[in-house]
Amino acid sequence: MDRKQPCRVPLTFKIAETCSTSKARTGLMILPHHDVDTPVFMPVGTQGTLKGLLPQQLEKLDCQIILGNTYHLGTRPGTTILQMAGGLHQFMNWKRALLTDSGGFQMVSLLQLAHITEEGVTFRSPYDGSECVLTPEHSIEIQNTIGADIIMQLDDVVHAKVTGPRVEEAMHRTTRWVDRCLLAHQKSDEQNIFPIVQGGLDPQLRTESAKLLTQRQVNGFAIGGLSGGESKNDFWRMVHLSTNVLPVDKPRYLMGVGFAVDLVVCCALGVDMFDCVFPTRTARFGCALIRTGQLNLRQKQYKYDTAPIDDSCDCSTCKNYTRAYLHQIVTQETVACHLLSVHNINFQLRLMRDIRDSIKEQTFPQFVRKFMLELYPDGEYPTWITEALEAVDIKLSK
Amino acid sequence: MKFMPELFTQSSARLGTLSELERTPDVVLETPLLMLYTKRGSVPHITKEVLEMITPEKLLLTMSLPTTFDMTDPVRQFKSIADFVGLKEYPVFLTMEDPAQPTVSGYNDEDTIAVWTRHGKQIINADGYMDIVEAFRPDFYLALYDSDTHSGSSSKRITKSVDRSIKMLDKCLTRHKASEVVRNKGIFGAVGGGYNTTAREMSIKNLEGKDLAGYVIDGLHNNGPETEKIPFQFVEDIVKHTISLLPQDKMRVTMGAWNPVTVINLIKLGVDLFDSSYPYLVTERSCALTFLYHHSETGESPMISISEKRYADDFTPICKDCKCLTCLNHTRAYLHHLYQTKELLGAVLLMIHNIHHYLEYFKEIRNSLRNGTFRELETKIYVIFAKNDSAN
Repeated sequence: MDRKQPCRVPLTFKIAETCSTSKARTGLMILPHHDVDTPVFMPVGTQGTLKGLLPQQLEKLDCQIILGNTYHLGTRPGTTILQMAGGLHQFMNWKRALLTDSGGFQMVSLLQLAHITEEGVTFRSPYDGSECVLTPEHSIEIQNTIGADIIMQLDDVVHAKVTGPRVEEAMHRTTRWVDRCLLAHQKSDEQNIFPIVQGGLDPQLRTESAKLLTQRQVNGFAIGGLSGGESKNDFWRMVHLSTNVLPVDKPRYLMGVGFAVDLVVCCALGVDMFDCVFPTRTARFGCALIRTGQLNLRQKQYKYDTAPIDDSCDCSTCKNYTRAYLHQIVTQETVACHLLSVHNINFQLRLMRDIRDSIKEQTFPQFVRKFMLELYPDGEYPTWITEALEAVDIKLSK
Repeated sequence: MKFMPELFTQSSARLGTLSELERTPDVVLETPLLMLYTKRGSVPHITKEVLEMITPEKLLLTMSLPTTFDMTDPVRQFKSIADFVGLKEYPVFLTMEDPAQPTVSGYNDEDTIAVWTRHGKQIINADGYMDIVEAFRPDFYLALYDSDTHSGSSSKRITKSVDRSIKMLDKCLTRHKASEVVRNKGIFGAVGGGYNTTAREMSIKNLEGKDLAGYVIDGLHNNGPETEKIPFQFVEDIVKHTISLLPQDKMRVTMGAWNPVTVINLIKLGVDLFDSSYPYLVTERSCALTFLYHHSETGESPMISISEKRYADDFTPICKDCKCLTCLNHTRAYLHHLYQTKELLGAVLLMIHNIHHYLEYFKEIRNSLRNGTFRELETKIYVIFAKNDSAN
C-alpha cells in the first residue's frame, strides 16, 4: 500500500478472529502510517522519544505504534517547531503509527492550579503565571499539528474515587466536548479522534456515556477514568460494561493500563489497545519484567547470576547480557536503562503477540489459564481475576 | 599477538596492523588506532546493539581499573571481562586509570597503588593486581606502576615513582610468565618520569630487555577534561625524546582526552594507540564534533554546542556530509529538543556521532599516511582549531 496517498478513511479495523469463549478478539488496524496488529500494547514516548531507544531499535522489536503526550509536546518543542518540522513523525523520525492524548489529564495531574470549566481546562502557566485555558478546540489544534494517527478528545477527567453529581457533570461535559473536538478537527482524512467513555465507577453513568458516544461518527473509542487508584473489583466491571456497550466493529482503547495481568484480563474483556509508562519507568529503576513478576536487578542476589534476565526471551539484551553484569551497572550507567527498556518493551510486545496467536488458534482460554498459573503457582488467584474471567466464561484451574 | 609497524622516512609517524590475538583471532586492527573508551565495561550510553550500528569493526576496548574493580569476583565465573560485560567479540586493553576522570593524587605508597572505585579507595599491590588480571584475562594490560606524576611534580617524587614502578613491573612480569591464563596476553610497561628527561631515560632503561608488547607513555597529565587543554608544544620535547629511546617494533600508547591537534602531532612523533575519552567528554558537554566536515564553507567552529537556542529550528543534520546514524536520521532541532528535555536519547545520538566522527578522523589520518598527504591533513586540522578557541 502506498503510504503517501492520504487515505479517505484514516482507520480500517478488520477483526481476524474472535475467541469463541470470551470477548477477546484479534485483528488488524490499518492507520495512515502503519498497520497495527491488535490487541496491542503501545509504549509511551512522552516527549518525542522513547527513553533512550533509537527508532531503529523499536522497529527491530516490531513495535508498530507509540504514544506521545500533547501537554509535553505542546510545551517543548512547541507547536511552532512541530509545524516547521512537518509534524512529530518527521521531527523524531518515527515512520510508524503514533497516538497522542489530549493534554487534559496531564494538566490536571501535573499542574496543581488547574481547574475545569465548561470552556476547558483553566490553568496558570508554569512559565509566567498567566491564566490560560486549554479548550477542546485548542487541544485538537495542537494534536493536528503533532499529526498522530490517532488523537484523543479533551475529556473532563474526574479522579476515580470521586462520587456524586461531579461524576455525572463530567460525563455529560465530556460528551459535549467530543462534539466540539469533532467540529474543530482539521485533518479528518489523516487523523482519527477517539472519544473517551467516562462515568466514573457508576454503572449507569458509564453505560449512558458509552451509548452517547456511540452515536458519534468516529472510528474507535477509548475507555478513560480508570487505572487511577480504584479497586480492581470496580475496575474490571467498568471495563466489562464499557466493552458490552461499545460497537464490536471498532477498536477499543483502555487508557493507562499495562501490567501484564491486567492486559490478559482486559483482552478477555474485549479491549484492543493499551498504553502504560510502567515498563520503561521501572526499567530506569533497575527492574526487569518476567512472566512470574519482576526482577529488581539492584539486589545482591544477582551479583553472581550468570543467566540472562529471561532464558526464553529473544531480545538483544537477553541474547548478550547477564543478570550479573546488569547488577553492576543498574542505576549507574544509562546503558542499563537502555538495556532494560529494550527487554521490558519486548516483554510487553511478546505478551501481546502470544495473546494474539492464541486467539487466532482458538486457544486463548488455555493461554489465560497457563499464564495465571505461572503467576500464581499455588492457584490462589485474586478474587477480581477469577470473577472477571468467569464473567467471560474462562474458568481458572486450581 | 602480532604487531607490524610500517615506517616512513618523512616523519616518525607509522602505519601498522595488530592481529593474531589469542581470544579474538579474526580481529585485525590498523594503527594509528582509536581504542574505544568504556566505563564500567560499556561504551558510555551505547549498548552492544547500538555499537554494532556505529561500526561493524571489533575495535579494541579500553577498560580502566577504577571502573571495573568492583566486578572482579563475578568476572571469575566468566571466560574474561569481555564475556562478562557482554562484548566477548571485542579485544580489551586493561589500563590503570580512567582517562575521563581526574586522578586523585597523593595516595600511592612504596609498593601499593590507590584505586578510586565507586565504593571509595582500594589499596592494591602487584600481587593483588595480577589476581585481578588473571580474573579479567584482558587481551592487553598495563603492568602496575606509580603514575602519580605530572608537569608540576618534584624531581624527588618523579625518581621515587620510577623506582617503585620497576619493582612492581618485575613482580607483574614474574606472575605473567608463570600464569597459564595470561602469559599469551600482551603486557605493557609504563614509561614514567613526568617532564624530567633524566627520569624518563631512567624509566626506559629499566624497561630495556623486558618481554613487553609495548609501552604506555604516561605521567604527562592527571586525566580528566584538563588533558584536552594541553597544547602539543607542552609535551612535544619529552614525548619526542621518549620515543627516540623506544624500540621501533613495539606499540606505543598515550592514554587521555588529548584534543585532535595534539593527537595528530603525537601520531607524527610515532604514537600508535589512543583512547576515545575525548569524544566522550565532548558528548557530556552536549557538543557535537564538526571539524572534519565543511569547515571552511560554513565557517563553523570545530564543534557545535547543541544546547544553543539557534539550533531550536535548525532542521539540518549536525554535519550534512556525515554518514553516521545520527546525521542520516536526525536534525539539530531534534537534538536541541532532547537536550532541553534532558531525554536519554540526546546523549545516545551525540555519542553515536562523536565516536563515528573520531573514528573517521583516525581513518583519514591512516589514509593520509598511506597516500603521502599527512602534512596537508595536519595543516587542515591545525587551521580549523587555530581559528577557534573552543578546542583549547
